[in-house]
Amino acid sequence: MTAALIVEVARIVSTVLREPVAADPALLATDFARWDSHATVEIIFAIEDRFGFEMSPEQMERVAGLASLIDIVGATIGEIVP
Amino acid sequence: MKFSRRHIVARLARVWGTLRDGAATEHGVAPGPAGDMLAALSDGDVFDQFESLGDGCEFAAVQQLAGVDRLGLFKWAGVDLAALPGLIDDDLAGVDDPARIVLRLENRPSGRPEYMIDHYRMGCTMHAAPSVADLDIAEATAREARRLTIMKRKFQADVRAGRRIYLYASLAPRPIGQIEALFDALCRRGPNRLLFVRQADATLAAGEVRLRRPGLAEGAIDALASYDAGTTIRTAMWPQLMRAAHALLTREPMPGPAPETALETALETGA
Repeated sequence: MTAALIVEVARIVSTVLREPVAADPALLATDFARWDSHATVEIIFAIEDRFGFEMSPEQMERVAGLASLIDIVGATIGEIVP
Repeated sequence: MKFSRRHIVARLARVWGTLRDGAATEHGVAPGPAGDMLAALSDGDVFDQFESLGDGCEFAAVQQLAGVDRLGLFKWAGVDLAALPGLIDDDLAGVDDPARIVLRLENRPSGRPEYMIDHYRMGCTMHAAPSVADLDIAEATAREARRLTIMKRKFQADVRAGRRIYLYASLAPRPIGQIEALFDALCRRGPNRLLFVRQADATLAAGEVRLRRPGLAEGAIDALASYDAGTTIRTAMWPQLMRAAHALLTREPMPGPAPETALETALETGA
């Protein structure tokens, strides 16, 4: 995965949660008080809009933190160019 | 709302006390490898297998207490049991149609106004995700329709794969025929399981779970949340009940879909 992808996913999550999110793939949803299932849906919206793909139900099920989001985006669209 | 791990552990300890340690053996989980494996599951692991179909928000609140907060179309909704089989048979057609949902502001017991959805396809009222402070009502309605599309897609995939154990808990008495109709509708879509939770009575004691048919269980609990305070959990018995139900429902082979659905699935997958 590229650093650019990690930074972009962290930025998206930060925008949804309205709080700073470090570009650290080890961060989990449970590390954030505001990251509940409603926020997960908002993050899925934002990821789909930014990267132009529709997340499958299996991918939605895997969303549990930054690492899973980065894996899903990376596996679906490949790396991004900063 | 999501709680920190420390907060969850503290709340679990306070609310559920020592119940979870004794639950499996009290309800006849067989000793040996299967029993050992079940005993090793945390409450969160067990709760994570289930998904609420209604008729209120209590089970979703219980799951949050156990640290489980998955996406679920019906978990914050009070769907009419009589309408559910038809919705499932129709593959949830229209549940994400913006013309079928009306958002309105409601003052909640917390003192903060909240968007509630009157859903005319699902025949229920449900909580909306957007906060009043973030979006006006038109924007929130569009957002909710899109959220329902995502949740619908996920429910359709889950129900085809038999990925969850569905739960219908109801304070109001329900004819068992309606529960069986819901189970049949789920089984027409895939290899699903259903747990019906109701108030204990002379025929089923609190904490007991019995199998009515393969894949369909009925459990009784000592107290369910009232309809006007749906997230107020009134019992410490949930972990005990869910462990017993999980043991019972996962011991049996998965019920299969009806033949036409199996054929349809085979044609779709090329199997």
